[in-house]
Amino acid sequence: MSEFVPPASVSLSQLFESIYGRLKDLSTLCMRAQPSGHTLQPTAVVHEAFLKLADRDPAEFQGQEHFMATAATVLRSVLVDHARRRHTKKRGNAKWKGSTDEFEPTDPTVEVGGLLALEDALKALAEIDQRSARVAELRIFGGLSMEHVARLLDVSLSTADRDWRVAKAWLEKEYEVNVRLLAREEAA
Amino acid sequence: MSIASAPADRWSIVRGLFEAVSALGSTQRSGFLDFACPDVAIRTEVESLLEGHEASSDWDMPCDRRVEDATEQLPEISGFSIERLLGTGGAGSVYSAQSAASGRRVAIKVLRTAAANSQAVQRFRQECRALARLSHPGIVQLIETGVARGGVTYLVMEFVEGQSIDAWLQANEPSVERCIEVIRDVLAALAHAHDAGVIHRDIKPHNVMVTPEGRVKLVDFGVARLSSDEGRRTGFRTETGHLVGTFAYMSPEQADGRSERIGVASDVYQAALLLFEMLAGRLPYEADGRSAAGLLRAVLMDERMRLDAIRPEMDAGLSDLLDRALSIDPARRPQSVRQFDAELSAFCAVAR
Repeated sequence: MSEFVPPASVSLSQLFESIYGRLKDLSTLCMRAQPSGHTLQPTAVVHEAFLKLADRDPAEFQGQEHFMATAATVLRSVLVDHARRRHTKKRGNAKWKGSTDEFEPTDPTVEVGGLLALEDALKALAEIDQRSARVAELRIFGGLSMEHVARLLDVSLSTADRDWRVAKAWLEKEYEVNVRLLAREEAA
Repeated sequence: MSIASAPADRWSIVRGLFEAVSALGSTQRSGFLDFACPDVAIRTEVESLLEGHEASSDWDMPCDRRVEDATEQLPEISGFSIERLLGTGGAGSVYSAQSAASGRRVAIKVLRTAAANSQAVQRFRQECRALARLSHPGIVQLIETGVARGGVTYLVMEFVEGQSIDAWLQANEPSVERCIEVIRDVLAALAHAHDAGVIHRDIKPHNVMVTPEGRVKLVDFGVARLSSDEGRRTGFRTETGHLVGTFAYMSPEQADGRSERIGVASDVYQAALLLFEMLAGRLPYEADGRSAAGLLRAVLMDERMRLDAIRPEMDAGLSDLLDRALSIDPARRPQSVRQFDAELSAFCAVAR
């Protein structure tokens, strides 16, 4: 019987579950933007992130940790692409028609405004403190534990902890500002 | 006083001060900053970080509920002596164990505490609820569920002696009739589950065991779904609308996330796919380079081969039946596992 071989040692259902779990957490994180009702369609995001990962060469990945790190970056870029498109669309049309009715209410949906605010805050952090920004990315988009983050970045656990503490403080202060900026941009 | 002007240098000062100050009590902070940070602009930045720090618990919340470490000790569950780890899945680990009271060998599935995010818990409960409704020789029997010391949720199940169907297939090289018979056993077990309002959704070689007596046992109801009517009636909603189940065996309606279309016909599809693979030795989809992406496309585009195209010696009628049962449109498939079973019986020499 043919055995379907997933990339690296990560099972595909694990991957789906993982991406989906990230979306759920992000859904909570990005909720603090004014609920505009403009949210991302989870199935499309999961599909696209999955396809991007599945198309990569398994040799790229040295084990699950490394794979999760790549998955974090891919998920972030797919989410932000979707959010930017949605954001622009929304500004172009007086009324944007969503397709959320195809999905069940239990699906995690991610607020476009909150996600973009997070993205801008992360990008700004990366310009001055790349490692802290990467720690935040691995935590938020990859769901990795601090131990995994420390191993991946080849730093001590206490260093990773300090980076994460700084990143959180940064995100907290930037996020609120960015949400307001985005709302203003939208109103203009 | 010269303050570094490059952003990175400036940041390292801000960060250093933030780290030093955040370790102090709030009353000491301003005194420390008066002393250590005469630059107003930098001080403002440090203070805004401190404000963020005070409020930043939110960012931590999701991540700390999950850890991917599989290196866990054997759990302690009173009344059972745990023997060894049998396997680890997304939400939990399965151990073989012995009941202290009866000496009976059991399998215990333990929800990993580290993985105890709401989704995993929900799935675990779902499996408990699904199994609790079922009692059939072709379905692994639930014995009890409980919460052990330290809040570890577990479920105790019958220990299934035997091998997964793919291992069984390799070891036995069964005839076409025998393969059909085995799938008819799977369908009988599914009929019982469907009657109880449970849709398995994850029929695949790994989840179909064959006992030494040649009987079939369905295991792993971790992604099972209570059929929508039942769900509505009991107010219990299963987690849906996203991709659950093993990729290669997903029905088209599972693969495209159209959860409202998932129903008994999805189990018909998966049982048919399993039979197809048993008879053809491969899946009906032509996946370029066997990549996951290629397979997903093939499933969603309905790029399928007929059984008799791969194995010309196969009965054309059986090929027709499987072709219908694997149809991308659930409405074109046999509408129940009993109907599929009745149609399959025509190709099975052994009277039942």
